[in-house]
Amino acid sequence: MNNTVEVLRGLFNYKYYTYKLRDAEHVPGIWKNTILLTILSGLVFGISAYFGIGSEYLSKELTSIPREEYEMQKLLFMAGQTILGLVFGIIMIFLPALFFWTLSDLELKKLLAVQIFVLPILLFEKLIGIPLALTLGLTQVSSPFALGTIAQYITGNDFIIYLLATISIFKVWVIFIEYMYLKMLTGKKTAIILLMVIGFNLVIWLFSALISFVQFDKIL
Amino acid sequence: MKKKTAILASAGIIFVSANLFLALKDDSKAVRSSYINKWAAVGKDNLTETLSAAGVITPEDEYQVYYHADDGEFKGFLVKEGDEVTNGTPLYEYSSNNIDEDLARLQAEKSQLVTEANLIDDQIQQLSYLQSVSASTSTASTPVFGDGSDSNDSNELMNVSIEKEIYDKQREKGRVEAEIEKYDDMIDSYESSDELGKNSEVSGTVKQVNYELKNPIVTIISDMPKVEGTFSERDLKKVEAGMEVYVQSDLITGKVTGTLTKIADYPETDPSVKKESHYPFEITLSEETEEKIIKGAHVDVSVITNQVMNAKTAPDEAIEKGKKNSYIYVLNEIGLVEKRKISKGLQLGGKTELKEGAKPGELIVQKPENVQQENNPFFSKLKIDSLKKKTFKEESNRTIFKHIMVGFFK
Repeated sequence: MNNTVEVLRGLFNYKYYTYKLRDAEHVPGIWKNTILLTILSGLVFGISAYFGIGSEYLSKELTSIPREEYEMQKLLFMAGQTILGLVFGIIMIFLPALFFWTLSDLELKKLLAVQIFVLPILLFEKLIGIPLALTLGLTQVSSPFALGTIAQYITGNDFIIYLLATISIFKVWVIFIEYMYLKMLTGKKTAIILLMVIGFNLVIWLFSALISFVQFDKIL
Repeated sequence: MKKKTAILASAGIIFVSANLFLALKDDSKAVRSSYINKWAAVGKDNLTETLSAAGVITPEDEYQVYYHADDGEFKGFLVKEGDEVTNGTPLYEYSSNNIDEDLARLQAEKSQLVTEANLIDDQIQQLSYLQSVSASTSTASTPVFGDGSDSNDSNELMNVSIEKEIYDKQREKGRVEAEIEKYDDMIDSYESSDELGKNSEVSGTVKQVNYELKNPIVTIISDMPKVEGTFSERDLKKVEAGMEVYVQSDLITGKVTGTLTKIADYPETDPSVKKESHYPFEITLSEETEEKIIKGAHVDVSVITNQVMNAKTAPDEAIEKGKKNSYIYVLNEIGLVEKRKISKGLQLGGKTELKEGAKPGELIVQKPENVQQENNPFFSKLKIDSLKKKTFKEESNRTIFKHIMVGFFK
C-alpha cells in the first residue's frame, strides 16, 4: 500500500503525495488504476448517454421515424458515448502525461500518476452534469460551473460559446493540481509551469470546442 | 491557507449562483434542454359527455280492465297473475241471465208460432179438399133439399166463402212465417254475441287480478320495459327530453340504448327548502334490444348530454393552464419544444378536446412541468423496451457505424 497510487488521497492531499511521488523509485498501481478509471470513464459517459444527455440532435427525428428506430439511434448514441468515455479516459491520462514528459525529465509513470488524480475531477464534472441536466435542463453548454451561460449572454458565436462552456471550475481545479504536482516534482519556475499547463489545457479545450462546434450528425 | 480556501470557496459559490441565476431566470438566453420522457400523440376520438343517474326498469305501460255489473253476472277469471297474454286472450267470462231468459222466451215464442203455422197449413189443406168436393157435386148430382128449393145457388155461395177462407188463411200463414223469421234473427243475434267473455286488447303480463271484483279487476303490464328514475335539480338543466341514453346493469350484458322521453316539471315529493328536489324521468328503451330485461332491476343510466365526433384530443395533464389561455407543448419536427395556445372543448375521461392549436398525430409533452423552456431542445432517456432487433437488422452496418461515430463526437 505504501507506494501505490491512492487516487483520492493524491487528489486532495497533494502535498503529502508529491513527496511520496518525488521520492518513489517505483510507482506501482498505475496500470491498474488507469484501466479502472478508463472503465469508470466509459461507465459515466454511458450513464449520461443513457439518460439522453447530449442526444438533442436526435430529437428532430422523433416526428419522422418510428419509435423503435428512434430508440435504436439513442442506443447507438449511447454506444458512441461509451466508447468516447473509454477513449476520453485513456487520452486524459496519457496525452497530458506524454506532453509534460517531453517537456521535463520526469519519469512518465510519475506523470501518469498525476493524471490519474486529475481524471476523477473530470469524471465528477460529467457525473454532476447528469442531475443538473435532468432536473434543471442545464446541459454542458449552460452548466453553472462553466462560462457557457455567460458566453450565451454576450455572444451568439457558437464556437466561443462552446469554448467558454468547456472552461469550468473543475478545469481550473485540474490546472491547479497539474501545476502543483509539476511544480513540486520538477522545481521549475512558476511561469514556465503555468504556461505549460494552461497552454496544453487550452489546446484541449479548443479541440473539444471544435468537436462540439462541428455537427458530425450533419456531416456523416 | 484556510483564508485562501474560504475565499476560493466563496468565489466558487458566487460564480455558480450567478450562473444559475442567469440560466434559470425567465427568458434566459441560456439554452435549457428539457428532459422529456413521456409524450402523447394528439388523438382523434369521439368524446361523449354523459350524466349519470340511477334508474329502475319498470313496465312501459299498464292497462286496466274494467267490469260493469250491467254486462251480466260474473262467472270467473280465465287468467291468473303472472300469465302472459296476447291481444285477444280471454281474460274473464260472465254469463247474462237476462240473455238466457230472453233466448228461452224467444225460442218458446218461435215454436209457438211454428205450431200456429202448421195449424194454418192443415186448415188450408182441409179447405182445399172441401172446395174440390163441393165443385164435383154441383155438376154430377144435385142434392135435394127438404124445402125443395134449388140447391145450385147455395153451392155457389159456399164455394166463394171457402175460397175466401183459404185466402185469409194463406195471408195469416205469411204473417206467421215473417214472425218466425224475425224470431230466428233475434235468436241468431243473441247466440253470436261475444259479450259473454272479455278479451285482452294488449299483449303483456297479467300483473294483478282483483278477486273481489273491484275495478280495475285485471291489470295488464305491457312487455316493453321502460326505465324510471329521478334527476336532482342540479342535473336538471343539463338534460332535456329526446337525449340519447345508455342503460347499464350487472344483469344486462353490454349497453342498452334508449331515449329520454319524459322529464317531470314537478319534483316527486313536495318541494322543501331543506331537501334537494328530485324530478322523475322516463326512458323508453330502443326496441332492437334482444336482451331479456328483468323488470324491477336497478340500472345505471348515462344520459348523453354532449357528444363530439372525431375530436382532436390530448390528455388533460398535457395541458398547461395559464392565466388566460391554455397551452400545449408540441415536440416539433425541428427538435424543439414548441408552446402552442389552444382552445379547449369538451373535457372528458382524462381527455380534452383541442378545438384549435394542434393537428392529429402531433406529439405533445405529457407533463408540461418537465418543459424547461419553450423553443429549446429536448432529450429523452433510452427506452430499452422499445428496441427491436428487427430495426438493427434492417439498418446497414455503415449507418449503424455512422450513428455510433456521431454519438462519439458529441
